[in-house]
Amino acid sequence: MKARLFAGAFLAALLLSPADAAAQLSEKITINGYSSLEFEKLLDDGVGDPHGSLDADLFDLVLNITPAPRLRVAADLTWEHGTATEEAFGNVAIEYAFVEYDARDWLKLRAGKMFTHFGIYNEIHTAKPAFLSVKEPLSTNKNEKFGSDLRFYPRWGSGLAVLGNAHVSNVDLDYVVQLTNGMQENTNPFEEDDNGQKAVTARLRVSPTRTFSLGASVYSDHLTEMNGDGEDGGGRTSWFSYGAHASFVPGALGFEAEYVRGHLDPSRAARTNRWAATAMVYYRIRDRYTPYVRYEYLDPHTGLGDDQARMFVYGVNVRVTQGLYVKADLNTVRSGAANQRFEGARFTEFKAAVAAGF
Amino acid sequence: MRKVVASLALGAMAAAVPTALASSDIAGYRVIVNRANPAEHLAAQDVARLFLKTTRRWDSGAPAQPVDQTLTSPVRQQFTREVLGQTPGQLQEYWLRQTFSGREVPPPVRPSDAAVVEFVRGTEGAIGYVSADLALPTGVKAVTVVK
Repeated sequence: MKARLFAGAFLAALLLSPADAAAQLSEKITINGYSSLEFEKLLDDGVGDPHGSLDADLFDLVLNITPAPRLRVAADLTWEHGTATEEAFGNVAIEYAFVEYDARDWLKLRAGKMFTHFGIYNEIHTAKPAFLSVKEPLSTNKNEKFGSDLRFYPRWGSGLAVLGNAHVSNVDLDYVVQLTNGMQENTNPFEEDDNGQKAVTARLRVSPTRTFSLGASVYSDHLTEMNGDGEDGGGRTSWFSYGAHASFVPGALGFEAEYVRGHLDPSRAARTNRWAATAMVYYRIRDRYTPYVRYEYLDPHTGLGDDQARMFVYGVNVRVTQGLYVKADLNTVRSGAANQRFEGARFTEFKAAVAAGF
Repeated sequence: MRKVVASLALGAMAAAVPTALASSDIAGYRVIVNRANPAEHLAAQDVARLFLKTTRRWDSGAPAQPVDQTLTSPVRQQFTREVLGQTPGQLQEYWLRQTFSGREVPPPVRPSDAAVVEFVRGTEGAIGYVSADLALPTGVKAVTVVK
């Protein structure tokens, strides 16, 4: 008992040293990043971790280099699950690495590997310090882990983007349009496209007031349909998703909601229509303790019955000090019998994380 | 298991107690710019846009260079609440999201009023904030923030 208490307190104390801001090697180079430890345990029979594992979830470094006044090179490097390549453990990844030219506030040009800028969460999906709950919403952002065959959009894309900010009267807005290789089965999508059709992502966010913002996103791609030899069979599956999100923070109370809808339309098979939604309410107490409740719903195929999944998330996020967060939540899942992932399971999982961002 | 999680949270919270996150009780702040900047008045919303980096340029097209004080400094806490309209926690979350999404990084931080003045005096497009009772040297001027 004492040993466990000591270990917990020691670990927490070790993490209590996030810097006030990015490490700034010079006016031209900044280093940011985050680190997180995660814990999950099933409280019933279900789909998840029955053992209560401690996951060295992420160590991440974000580099920003400004070699010239209008030029920025940015990279986000991730080591996931205690990476040890000699043992083939964990994962090392470039989340993004791009060059950005800042022509105007409303016109920046970007080239490289980027997050798919769709909705609220994809662009911060690994960054535990940047959102309240232990995991980002699954139904709208990781729907392949909630009963879908395929995500609503891929995590990343390699290609070009234009983006920017503008102000029209008192309304603030920002936009991004990306042209990328899209997703494919047989080649590295960040190196080589397996068809001529490029993926297009677009997002517009509008903030009529400081407390209220609305966004709309769209993703479109064509997937190559392979023949029995694993070669391009000539057919294409149309992959299309669109969504809307909103946040309203009138004070200590906050609301956030997201809706995504879309389809997969193979050339020689029936179309799959699907949709998902999440809604969250939270309340900041003394700018430190934030209890939250979130509801998630996914219908992975509107033409099929009883394949839906839903989840309630109840939790609390504690901003311990600058950049250090401790959070814990209960995830109660209910699913239909035809749901591919959960197959009718009903269960609750406890999740917790310690995350430091700097 | 529950004990380990509980002790993690307890240990972290206990160690954090000396770091006050409460709102400030200082008399006020002044927004300052480089003497070469023609601005005399700025709308609070425009100041907020400069510090949140959704606007990167002055009306003249010259690059704007906001400079912050440390997160726990009373002057920053008051400026954050009154001009940016956010709590320190909300602002930190904003910058974490901006940074990790690849969009922007926070302004550079200087540890004191004197260091902010020094930065603004030496940087033509700079904008900062300092305690209201600070005597300003040549090369720096205060601008009126209109709400």
